[in-house]
Amino acid sequence: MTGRLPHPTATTLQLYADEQLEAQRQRGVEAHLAECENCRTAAAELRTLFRDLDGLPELAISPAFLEGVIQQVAQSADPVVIPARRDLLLPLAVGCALLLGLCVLMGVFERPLSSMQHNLPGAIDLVLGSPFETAPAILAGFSLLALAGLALIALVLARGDVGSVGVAGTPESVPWP
Amino acid sequence: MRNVPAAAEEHRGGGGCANDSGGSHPPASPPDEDLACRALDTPGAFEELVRRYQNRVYSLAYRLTGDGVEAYDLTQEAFLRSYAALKTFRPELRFAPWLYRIATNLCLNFLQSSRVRRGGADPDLVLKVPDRAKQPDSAYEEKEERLDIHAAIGELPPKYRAVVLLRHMQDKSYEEIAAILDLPLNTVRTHLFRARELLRRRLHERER
Repeated sequence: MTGRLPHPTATTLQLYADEQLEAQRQRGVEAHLAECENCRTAAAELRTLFRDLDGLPELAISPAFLEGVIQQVAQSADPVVIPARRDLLLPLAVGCALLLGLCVLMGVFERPLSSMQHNLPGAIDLVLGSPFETAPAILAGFSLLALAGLALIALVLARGDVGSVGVAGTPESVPWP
Repeated sequence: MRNVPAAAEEHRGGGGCANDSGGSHPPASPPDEDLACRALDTPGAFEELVRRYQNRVYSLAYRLTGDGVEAYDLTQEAFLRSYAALKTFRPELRFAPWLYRIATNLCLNFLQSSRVRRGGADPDLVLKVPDRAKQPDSAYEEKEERLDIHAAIGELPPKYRAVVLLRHMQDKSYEEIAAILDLPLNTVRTHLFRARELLRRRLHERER
């Protein structure tokens, strides 16, 4: 030996015991430990502590745990199936819109709309006075509103994120890059 | 570091969700990342992930919270949340740190909220360790040592507890711990150093 090597710091000694130092520094600490009993004792203490920590047994969870989680996943996963409903809703909305368009093109709503728009009291009179005569006009008006409403509801539901209903999200404090 | 049985090691994959259809030697147990990618539409895939990690996540939760019942619930919550978040799982990342991150954050959040509920008087939960005086004195030295270390870990502040457990019980590298806890690498080193110093001193005190 050419001379006594400097004592490693407590941090360095821990990193040494945890084998986290670069090879050269690791060898340097080893060389020091060979000639310094105090540091050797401290390093041995750390190794014992690490061995005890490493030796903590893995605990076995109850055998029922797995079944419970899978059951809950199956329940919470149900809403994920809902996109199938979305698949139905979109064609429904499109169908309603097409039917609506067809009705408009064929002039189904022309009479009731014009009579209601230009002469509402007269239309009410007609309805009250001779319901039989005006019934087709009223029916056409209601079907117009119903079809429009149906198309709107279907569109709104179809656009919603139905897949996430009832499914727990990731904790807010757990962002993942 | 600690010896972990081969079967308990993480099943590491090469990343990517592509189906491996052409291999003449299909792997006996698919990597975690493959299972995670298929878990939402392949029956049994998520179950296999739970089977692989349930004991490790439970052990971590138990050592962090010191309460078996809470640990059970938090483990369950961690798996349910990971399942719900699988849609956003990126296969180029590894599954295990991702799961540990969810579990650790749940446990730390729990410890934080339990501290708030208790008025912040005692910052740490003390692990429920059986009374040493009631243990047989000579035949179970090893068991007592474990109880000592278990109790000493329970006396650490939660942030120190987490790094020590991830390093020593879960055998994570410093870099992995930094990713799991979302901390800079130097902070992980500092926390580990302080945690071990505290442990060393407390165990010394107990020996006296």
